[in-house]
Amino acid sequence: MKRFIHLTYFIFILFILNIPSIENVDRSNFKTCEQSSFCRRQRKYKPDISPYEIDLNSTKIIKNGHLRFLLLNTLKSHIKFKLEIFTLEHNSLRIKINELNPIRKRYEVKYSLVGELKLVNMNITKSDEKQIEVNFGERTKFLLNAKPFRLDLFTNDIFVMSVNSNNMFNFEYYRKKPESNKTATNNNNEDGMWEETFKNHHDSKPYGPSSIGVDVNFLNFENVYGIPEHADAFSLRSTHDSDPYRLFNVDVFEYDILNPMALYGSVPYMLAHNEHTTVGFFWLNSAEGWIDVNYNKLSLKNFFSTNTNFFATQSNTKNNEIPEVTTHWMFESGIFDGFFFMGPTPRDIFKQYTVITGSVPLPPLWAIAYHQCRWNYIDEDDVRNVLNGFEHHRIPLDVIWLDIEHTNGKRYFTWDISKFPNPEKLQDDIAIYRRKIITVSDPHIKKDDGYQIYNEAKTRGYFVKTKDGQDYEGSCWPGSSMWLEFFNPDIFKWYSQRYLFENYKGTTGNLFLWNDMNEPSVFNGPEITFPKDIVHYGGWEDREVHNLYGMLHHMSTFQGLLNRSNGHIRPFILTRSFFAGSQRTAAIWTGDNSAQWSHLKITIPMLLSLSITGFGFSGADVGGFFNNPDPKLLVRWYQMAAYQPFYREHAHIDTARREPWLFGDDNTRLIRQAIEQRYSYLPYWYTLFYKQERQGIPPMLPLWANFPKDKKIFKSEDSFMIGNGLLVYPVIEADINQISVYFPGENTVWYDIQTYTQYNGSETVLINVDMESIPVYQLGGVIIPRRLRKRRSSMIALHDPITLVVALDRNYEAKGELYMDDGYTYDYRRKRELIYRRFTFKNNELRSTSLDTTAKFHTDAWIERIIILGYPENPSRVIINSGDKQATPLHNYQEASHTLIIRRPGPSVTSDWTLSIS
Amino acid sequence: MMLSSYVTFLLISSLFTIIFCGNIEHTVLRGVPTSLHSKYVPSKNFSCLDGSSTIPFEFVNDDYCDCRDGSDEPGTSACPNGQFFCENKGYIGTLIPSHLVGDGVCDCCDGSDEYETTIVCNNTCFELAQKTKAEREAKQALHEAGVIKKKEIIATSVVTKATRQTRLIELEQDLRKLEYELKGKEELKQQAEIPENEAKGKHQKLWEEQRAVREAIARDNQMREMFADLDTNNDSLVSIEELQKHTELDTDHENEFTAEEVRSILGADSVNFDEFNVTVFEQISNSYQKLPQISIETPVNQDDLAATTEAHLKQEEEEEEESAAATEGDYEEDLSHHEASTHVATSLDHGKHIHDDTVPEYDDETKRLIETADHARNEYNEVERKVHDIKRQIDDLKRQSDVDVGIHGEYSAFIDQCYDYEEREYTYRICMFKDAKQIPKGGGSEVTIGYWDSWCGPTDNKYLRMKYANGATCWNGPARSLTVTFRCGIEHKTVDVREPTRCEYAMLFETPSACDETIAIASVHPDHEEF
Repeated sequence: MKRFIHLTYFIFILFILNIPSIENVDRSNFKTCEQSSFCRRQRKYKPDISPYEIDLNSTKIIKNGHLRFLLLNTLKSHIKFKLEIFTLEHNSLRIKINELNPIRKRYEVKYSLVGELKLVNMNITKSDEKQIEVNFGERTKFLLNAKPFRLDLFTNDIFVMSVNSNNMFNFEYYRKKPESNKTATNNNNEDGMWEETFKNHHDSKPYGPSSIGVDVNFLNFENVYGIPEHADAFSLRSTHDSDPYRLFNVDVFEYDILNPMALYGSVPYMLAHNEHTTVGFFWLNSAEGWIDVNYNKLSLKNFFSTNTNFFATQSNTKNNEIPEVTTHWMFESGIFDGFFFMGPTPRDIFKQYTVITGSVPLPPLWAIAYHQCRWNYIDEDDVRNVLNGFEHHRIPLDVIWLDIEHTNGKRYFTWDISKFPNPEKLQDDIAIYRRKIITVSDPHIKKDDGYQIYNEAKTRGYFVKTKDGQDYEGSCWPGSSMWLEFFNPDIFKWYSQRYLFENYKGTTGNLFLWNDMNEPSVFNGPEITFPKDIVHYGGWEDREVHNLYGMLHHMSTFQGLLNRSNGHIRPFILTRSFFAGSQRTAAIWTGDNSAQWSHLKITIPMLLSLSITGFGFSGADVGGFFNNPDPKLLVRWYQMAAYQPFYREHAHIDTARREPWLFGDDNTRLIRQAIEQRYSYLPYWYTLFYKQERQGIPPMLPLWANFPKDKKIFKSEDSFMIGNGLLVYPVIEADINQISVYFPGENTVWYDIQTYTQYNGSETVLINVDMESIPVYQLGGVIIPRRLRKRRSSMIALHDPITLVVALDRNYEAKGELYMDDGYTYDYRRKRELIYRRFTFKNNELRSTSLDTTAKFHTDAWIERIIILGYPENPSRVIINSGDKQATPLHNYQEASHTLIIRRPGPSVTSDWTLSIS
Repeated sequence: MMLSSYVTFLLISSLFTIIFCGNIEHTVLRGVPTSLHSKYVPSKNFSCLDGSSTIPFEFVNDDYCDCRDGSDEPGTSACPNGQFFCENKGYIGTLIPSHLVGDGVCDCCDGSDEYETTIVCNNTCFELAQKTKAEREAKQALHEAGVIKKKEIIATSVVTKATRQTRLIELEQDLRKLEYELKGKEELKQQAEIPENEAKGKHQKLWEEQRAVREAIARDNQMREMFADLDTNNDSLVSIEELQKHTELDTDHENEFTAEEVRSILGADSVNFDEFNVTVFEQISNSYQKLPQISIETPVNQDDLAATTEAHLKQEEEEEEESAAATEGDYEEDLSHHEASTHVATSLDHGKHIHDDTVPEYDDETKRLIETADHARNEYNEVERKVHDIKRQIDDLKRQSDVDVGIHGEYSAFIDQCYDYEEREYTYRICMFKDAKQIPKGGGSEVTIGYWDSWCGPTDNKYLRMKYANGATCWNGPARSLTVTFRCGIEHKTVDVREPTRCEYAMLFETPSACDETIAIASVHPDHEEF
């Protein structure tokens, strides 16, 4: 939701920030690298030889899997650093570098990590005065070079990553501020080390410079991905001629696409992929960050000649050159805390990152269904009318949302009773259809003595403080506001308790939450957020922890919702701001996009970047938040988002109403069909979300995640996959009647999900499209469970029969899974009330077996239909056996499309059975 | 799909259903509307109602969707597009989408859609029938009462229309008469104005001649005075040095008043009185000011000049008062007053004296002619005003009769009427066929949310909705607009105003004009035969 609708705010912002235009983002509100002094300093740091050296005599084995060294800057030998290496399970490595005796403690992020990291044994294979070579994990190793400091990493003996091979490691140690009367002062502050001013905002920088820069280089790679959130390409673009990619959580009004500007969330995690290996680098740091990306050819002659055998691509080494992606990472403070994920497969990488930061937990079923939102549904009548609209037009719906206007004057945890006199009744009525309601709750608290939350927080000193220890006051939706200090565990707990039914009046178990504006957005703050010299709990400056604020906000909300049901019901929270680890407690959306075709298009790379960096539950506002989409754009957006993880229509308060039935019968039908397709695939989606919880594999994937060796698709961002079974090529251009579809994978076969037409892998086909078309293809070899029956909401369909779509590969084989549970509680974890089935088609037999024999879940759901795609001929007989029962269901064979449909095979989804075709 | 190919496997199929949990509870005609019972005959194969295929009758309501139109599964949720018939005994039988069958929501008042779920649906058909009946009766009563009022409005409208027409004819007759009269009066006026203008012209000419003489004298005096002022060394020549002191004559006001610039004014290094008169005086007379010290030294002069006109004197007094009122403040302020008073005191603007001169009185003969002409003019104006008035009345009447007030004039009561609606923050005022405004209760300026545009109801009755468009433009948005929806009521009144989309207002308005005769007279509703 959001943005500057109120004229008064707008004038205010105009005045304070001098916004010249309302048409698009005002870039002058946000710093460039040049305007951010540490970025300026670090970006130009590039000595010919790195002054940093490791004293190998200092090597200490703390325990097996944990080494410690002294690291020195030879130009400033009195400053010592400690470098620690941890070899972790799942082919992962952690390197920490910190000052040995800093005059001020440096901040280390703890909220992102899940539990204790498990060390694995190191096998030191070489150690002399120059370097140490260590094997760990499965055919992974590192080589630590002492003089100068450099770290080289190998997967399967192939050189994959290198740290400081470009000599950019540069650690600004904490120092005493020079006396102001010394002549050096001018020099010292020349680079903004001790204070800086942006626009009319002064940053006092009491602790001086503290930034860290390092180059991390991906050898043998031509594509790197990740480091969300940016409205930019999926395969990251070179920043040679632009600013570096920036990581700094800010509220960007009407953001532009295809540029490296920071957005609402930050995940300092980058992946690199080639046809042999997928690797990742994660620098756990919550300060402002900038990352340069450059694509180079590395000449082997000058580099590490003894190890040429480590280089993978022989063809490229002809000229003694290999491709390399050099990246330069710069953070304003904190420590170097780098995690290196060594792959080698995409699936390994997903696992490795989520073992460290956690995976998206299985959401409630309804949360992955369709959501209807708007800033704002005005009152109870409006809500009821919209719900009736869905009934009347027979469009499935699970959730309706209330934006800020539902509150009493933007006082969160309250209702505007003139508009919502009986919110419990409203929720109970919605519950009849097993639908939910979601309300917004932002972290800014209206400054108003008559507002209980404010009063209590004020009295207890719960607000974020300025450098002078005063309550920080800024402007947001309610006008003058203050922000809660979630870093303080007491405040975190207190805030979470605001969500208990007794505190949040007018709520029922049928209401869930939305945390917006939590970067945080401060209308009159520097870069529309907190000043950096704000002091958080523990004395940490916002400079050090800025990117964590939003995450702590939604983590606290999550805790509240969890406690509300004594840990029984799965919470659902949507957040706009996020950091590495946010995925454990919230879904995210891409913020305030716009009703433009270019924004529809950019959604794919944005969501892919989020997916591969842990955020498998994400989406974009359908139709575009700002401005009015024309009906064609709206329909295309509904069609695309039907195949993306979080599916929500949302619109700005200034836009025209856009409920699905307002654009004529044809468009209503097209939107209904798109939403119905989403519901029909919910059993598949839900299974994929379960896999995500277990294995860290996001439901929405880049093509290369399933076809890692197919070089044609490493940059694909016009298409994506859902699980390993569905290939989606949404129509993202305004006026086209043909799209070019590349079917990845050698020897693969693909089936159009509507017509069952077959296509061959490694081929590009021109596909005719009209407004009805949602080009989606099922991969031969994959079995997908669907619900072809229609229902009003996902939860109502929970026990409805299942149709299995068995798409055969070239060997007439296929397999797939089905996961089911009650759809909303933790009983699947606590009581193991779930079913997890494996379906295998081989040798003309389709078998259903349990993947989790210790679990059980009662359901009446049964298999009502089996559709076998690519079956070569009309069989004479189909027999199904389950235990001692046998039956011979009817079948129908469609010659033209080689489709065999088995009618009413009939077994319960919970039972083992075998279907034989002869 | 070629579903007919299933038929050969019919026998096996029925065996199958016994073995597995196909949860078929065969109530053959479940969900089939009474009117279609003849299409569902258990002894025959079933033809899908759209004719797309034929299936064994056992496939009807067997919880598997065979027909493209969903007609084989009226009683189960198997088809996404089927229809289930709720018998609703005691109420109206209704068709609902078959996907609502067994979904845990009671959709039929007899609960028949939830025959296989665990939830208990109370049979609410009787209550619903009662309620519907009561509502229908209330609605009928309302429309009855409304229609009576509506008829009154229409009757009034007819009368009004006729009256308006009669009045219009009268007015047009009056207008013709008056226009004739006006023509006569105009002639009289013109006749009287001819001698008047002649006499006035003569008088004016004479006065202008006298004035020209006075003007020449004044100019001459001024010139002499100026020459004398400038000729400070009294050598009967004005030299460059003498004129150069008068920097106010420097036309470019930027650099110094150079000798060159002065020479270009004088045309020579010095000029005598005659040369000054011919070539210099006109150039400098408008900008020329006496040097301040001179004005102080010669207060008598100043008095003389100041006394020349009343107006001048008055102006000076005012300025002096201002000076006195000004606090003995900063230097700049003092200086500006000083300069201003200097300017006033020494102004030699001869034009001003002449313009202030008043025209002498007319002679008696001219006065008499003017009086006669004034009389003729007054008479003409009087008639012209009447013509104007009558034209306005005619325009009003025509405008009123041009307004579309419904086929029978049922909305004629709205003409020139405004209605207010009080809401928490605003009063909404609609002036029918004119405009609609939002008036803030806490003060602040009112906003026009639309001007009368058109009737915009559904095609079968466009008079159920009106549009007011092109109101004040929203910030960063479109022009405001209002849609008014009418429904039957006893009185004319606004019952709701909302803004479902920013800047697009929706008003609900009750009026007898929207009451429906067919509802009022309907004793039995056509849909109710199944009661």
